[in-house]
Amino acid sequence: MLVIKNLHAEVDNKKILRGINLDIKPGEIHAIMGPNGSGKSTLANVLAGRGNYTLSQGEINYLGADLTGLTPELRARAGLFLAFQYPVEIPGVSNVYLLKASLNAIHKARGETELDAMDFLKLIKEKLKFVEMDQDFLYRSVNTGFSGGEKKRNEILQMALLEPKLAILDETDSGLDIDALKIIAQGVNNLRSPQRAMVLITHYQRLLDYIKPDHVHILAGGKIIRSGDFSLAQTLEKEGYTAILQEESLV
Amino acid sequence: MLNHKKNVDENAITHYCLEYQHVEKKLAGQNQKHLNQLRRDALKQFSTQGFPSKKQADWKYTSLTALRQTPYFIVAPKPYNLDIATLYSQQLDFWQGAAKTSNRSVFKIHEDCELSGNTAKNLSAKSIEPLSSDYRLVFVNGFFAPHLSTIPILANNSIISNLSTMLDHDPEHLNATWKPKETVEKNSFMHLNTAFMQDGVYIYLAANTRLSSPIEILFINTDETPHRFIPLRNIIIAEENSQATLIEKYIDMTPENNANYFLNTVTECHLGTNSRIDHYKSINESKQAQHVGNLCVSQQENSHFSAYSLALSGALIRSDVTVKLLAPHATCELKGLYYAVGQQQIDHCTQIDHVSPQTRSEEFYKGIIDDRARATFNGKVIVREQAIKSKAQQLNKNLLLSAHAEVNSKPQLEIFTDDIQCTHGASIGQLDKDALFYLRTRGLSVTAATELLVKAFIQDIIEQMPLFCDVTLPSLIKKTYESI
Repeated sequence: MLVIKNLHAEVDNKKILRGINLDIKPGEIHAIMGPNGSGKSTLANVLAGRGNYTLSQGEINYLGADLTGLTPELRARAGLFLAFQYPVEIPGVSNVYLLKASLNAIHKARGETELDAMDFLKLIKEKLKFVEMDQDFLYRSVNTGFSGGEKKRNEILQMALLEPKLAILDETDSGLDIDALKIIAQGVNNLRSPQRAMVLITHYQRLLDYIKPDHVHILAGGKIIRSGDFSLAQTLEKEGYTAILQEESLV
Repeated sequence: MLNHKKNVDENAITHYCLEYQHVEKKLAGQNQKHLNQLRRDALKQFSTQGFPSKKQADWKYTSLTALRQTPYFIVAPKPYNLDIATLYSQQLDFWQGAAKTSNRSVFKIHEDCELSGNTAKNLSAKSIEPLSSDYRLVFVNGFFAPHLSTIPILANNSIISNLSTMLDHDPEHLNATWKPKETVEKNSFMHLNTAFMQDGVYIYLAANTRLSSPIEILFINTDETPHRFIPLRNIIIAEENSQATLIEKYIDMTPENNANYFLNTVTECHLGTNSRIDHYKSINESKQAQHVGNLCVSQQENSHFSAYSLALSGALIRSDVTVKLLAPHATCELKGLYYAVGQQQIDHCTQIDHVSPQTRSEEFYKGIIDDRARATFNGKVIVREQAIKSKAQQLNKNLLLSAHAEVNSKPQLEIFTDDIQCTHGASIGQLDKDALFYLRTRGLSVTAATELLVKAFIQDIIEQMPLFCDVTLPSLIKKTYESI
């Protein structure tokens, strides 16, 4: 589904990604872990199409086609979803409006019929249950005044609604208490399917106790320095990043 | 260079003096001696002052080059092909076009209301339907059009009429109630207006008159003759305990929307004790029009004045408001939205004079400036020594959509006493890039995302102007932003 080969990316002439290789197949869950400043969020943003990065080398292939030339909205319509580490507050735009506009933009791109207000309301009410959100959320401005946990749940709500093929969750666990983490994990687990792939970007193993990944990668210095299964995350939790970085002679 | 400019100024002064000699005998109210004197005095004032110079603080950012260099002429009323049906259908097209535009765009406030069941937000859609008022005065190319107007007879000696009719048929009443020297601030455009004024509304609300339906006043341009000078004078007198809502709409209906005219308008409002006037003004002039408007308000005890303005189309829009809070507990609010695109210039200059104790004023203006357009907000608040326990609030926020757009925002407070509360603020920002990216990752196009953010920016000001709503913003959201 997603094949990344030797990807190099920089921002303001500062090299951040230095040769990423990744192969993600439908139905798989990949966890990307790494210390601060290793390039995790850059990778997520590059995949979503944020403009201020320069891709100096390598390729990104999504569903058999080059992803790099596509605008963020075309990527979204092609089924790629990024759950933001810091969801943006947009005062004056109601959540329900954005959700509906977003769903219909994606439906339209797929040649499906757009939903009217009644059908949409019915659908979104079901999705709200997924993330245990109250209907009031719909009528508040997007993320404005939301708590950290509410913002992250809102991201998962969008994901549940848009049903992406590939979802990238950028530190969705950060800043969550244990109850909120469980709700989010449950929401994500409900969305697991043989057709859908997910990338979990995280600092901690904690999230992975609730969402079991098939593959775990350690990103450091802009490269994936080690890949393995769930046991790699456990090792990491026990020994910390330093030990692995030392083994790889990166410190 | 300086000499050249001086020459241009002198040419302009000479032009209007000659023009006055040409048209003097044809101007409205010929048999009114004191009116003729008023006109001549005003012309004299204009000829000494000329057009305002950039050295005057209030005019520093307003370019009057086109006005100085172009000789505008008074044109006698001509026959025009506009009946009530055409007017209705054209206006209807106008509004329906607006509705279509806003359906395409992202706001859909009604739909959100439907979802939330919030009917209060439904923004009295009925009242902005075309030609829905009980009272309507239509002026075509600067002259009153009785056959397009609807004026029911009012009880209690209240009058809804127009200036030239009043001058011809009831000058005694006009002279007894109209005190132009008391309200009108002296600037060259007002002098020019006084010298040449031809027509406009005259509204007299007798004590205790409360009109439930708004008075709709349409100033329509249908003439493509270039370089026409259209001086309009509106007089509104609200006696004790009276109340009314007025909607001034300036609309260009020429097919190309390209007529070149200079519309100079002065609206005087006198508010008696306990009276209330809500004044709406929407400006949709032709792309080449020069619109210079002055709203002059004087308020007595416990009166309330609201001004809501929507400045959209016109090469130059200069919209000034002067309010004098003359007696205790007089309050006013001024709200406005402007959207400048292309090479447009849209300037607002307000002055609120707190003369008496316990007076209150509130100002809130928002602007969107795109392309190479320019905008200015100049807000002066004066609190006199006697005006203790007064409150003044002022806020101006601007959104720049292009690197070549320009805005100048200048709050000015002149305070001569201690025991008062004054706040002011001004901001100039750009579209939030993070928000734009966020919306795009949710599948929205750049156009849709930009529209949504622009709508979000103006939502609070729109909600504060009850009769303007989504549908009133036709030209606002027409542009496409795919180029960003």
